[in-house]
Amino acid sequence: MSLWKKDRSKEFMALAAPVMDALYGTAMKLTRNEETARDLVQDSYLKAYKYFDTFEAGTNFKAWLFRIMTRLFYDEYNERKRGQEIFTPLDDVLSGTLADPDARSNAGERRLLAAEIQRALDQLPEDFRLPLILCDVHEFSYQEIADILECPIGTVMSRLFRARKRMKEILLNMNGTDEAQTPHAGQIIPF
Amino acid sequence: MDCRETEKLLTLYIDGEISKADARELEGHVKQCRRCTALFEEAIEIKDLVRRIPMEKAPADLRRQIELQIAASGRRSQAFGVLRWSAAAAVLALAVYGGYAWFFPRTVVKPAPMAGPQPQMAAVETTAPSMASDVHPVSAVSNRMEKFSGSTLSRLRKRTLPPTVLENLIVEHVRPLPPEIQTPDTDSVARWYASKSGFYAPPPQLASWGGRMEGGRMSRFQDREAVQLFYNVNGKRVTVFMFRADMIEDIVKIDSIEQLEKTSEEEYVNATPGGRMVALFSHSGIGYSVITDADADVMRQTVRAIVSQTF
Repeated sequence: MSLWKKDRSKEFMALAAPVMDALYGTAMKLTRNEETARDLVQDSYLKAYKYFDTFEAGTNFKAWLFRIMTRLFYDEYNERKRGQEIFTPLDDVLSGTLADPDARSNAGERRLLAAEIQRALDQLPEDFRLPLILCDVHEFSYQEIADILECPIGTVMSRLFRARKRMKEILLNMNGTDEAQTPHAGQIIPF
Repeated sequence: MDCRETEKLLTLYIDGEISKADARELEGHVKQCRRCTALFEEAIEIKDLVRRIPMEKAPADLRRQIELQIAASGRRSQAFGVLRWSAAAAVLALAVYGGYAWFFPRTVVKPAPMAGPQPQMAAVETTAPSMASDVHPVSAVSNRMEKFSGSTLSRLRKRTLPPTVLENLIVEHVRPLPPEIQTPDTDSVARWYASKSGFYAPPPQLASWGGRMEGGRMSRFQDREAVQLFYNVNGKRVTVFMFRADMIEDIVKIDSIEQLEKTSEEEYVNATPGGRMVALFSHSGIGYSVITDADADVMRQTVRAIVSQTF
């Protein structure tokens, strides 16, 4: 080990600064709280810089930073929120109390407002929401997502499949497009 | 390809994770199946909706704050590096001087008396620094350095873990990743990690004095594979890392209880400023690092439990 520890902050920030929006956006989707998202991003950057020496040059820096944030989120930030009501009970979603009737366009139309999509995404458990964002928003490959979440690639596939299925159910219910397919309040939706 | 297979592969298809041959088959089926066409369109639509979901951008003040913190952290680490260099250089200089002074006794030149019958020339007296009562101040330092020569210096070198290694161990102890196996049964844990890593050494048995095994995970130590074990002793965590002893060149070997009793704790235990203790030693070819924020007795008992194991 070298006794001389170089100031690598500039080198680090050159790689890390362009990822900050993506990281913060994801942190917001995960925590749904601005203050917590800020803390999570800040802690992730400081931790990443601390371990910057372990980053293998030439590998995917963005995925590396996401992995650090994901670990932190599951290890520490989940602890913080334990005991709080994280997810709106599914019954509320299914009974339509969350879907603001004024915000809807014609029920028959499939156009969805951004707020509705956001709300639907919020209803997903974190284990589904995160792979979906990593895949669809940030366009990470399955392998990269598996590395970020530190799980087998099969788990990534299954979570994405189930996440989309659940999204579809929630969105359909919000739009009230198909009465026959809309589960009644209290019905358990298999996933 | 039938509807069932199509449904299974649809997610992979829209994510571009499917082989070309499978993609062709899937497209062929979708074209002739109304149900699968509907599923396909829905899947694309949902992906597209998520893709277009508005993502919040990092606030400018957060960006600035992080930039400042990283820059400050960079300066600190550099200063720390310089400090370490300076400390190393100072120790080296003193050691060299100490060695020199020891092997080449210093010639002390006493000023000649101002008056008297003595000849007008300086009195020359040769003396070893450790015995001289009027030695030069630097000789006094070298006198102290003498205590740190030989075996003591090599002991110090062994017991001091590099700060980054120490820091990593503490982080893994304080904020470990979730265990991959969770059971109080040490045999199950042993079987589990043997299958993963090829370590056949049993895990430390701490139950006789109140240490409860909580589980373990595969981890890294100095960038090599290691087993990380979690114990709970009266509500305090004890983390034990097991790894190949030959990973660390000058690791303190403690292969028996007799050897443990002859070895000073200072040789293998590091205390951290945060009040934690980190032990590093090898036993029967397995390297162990024990980290605890419990008291020194817990550390002693854990080390003893490890060393008393024969395998």
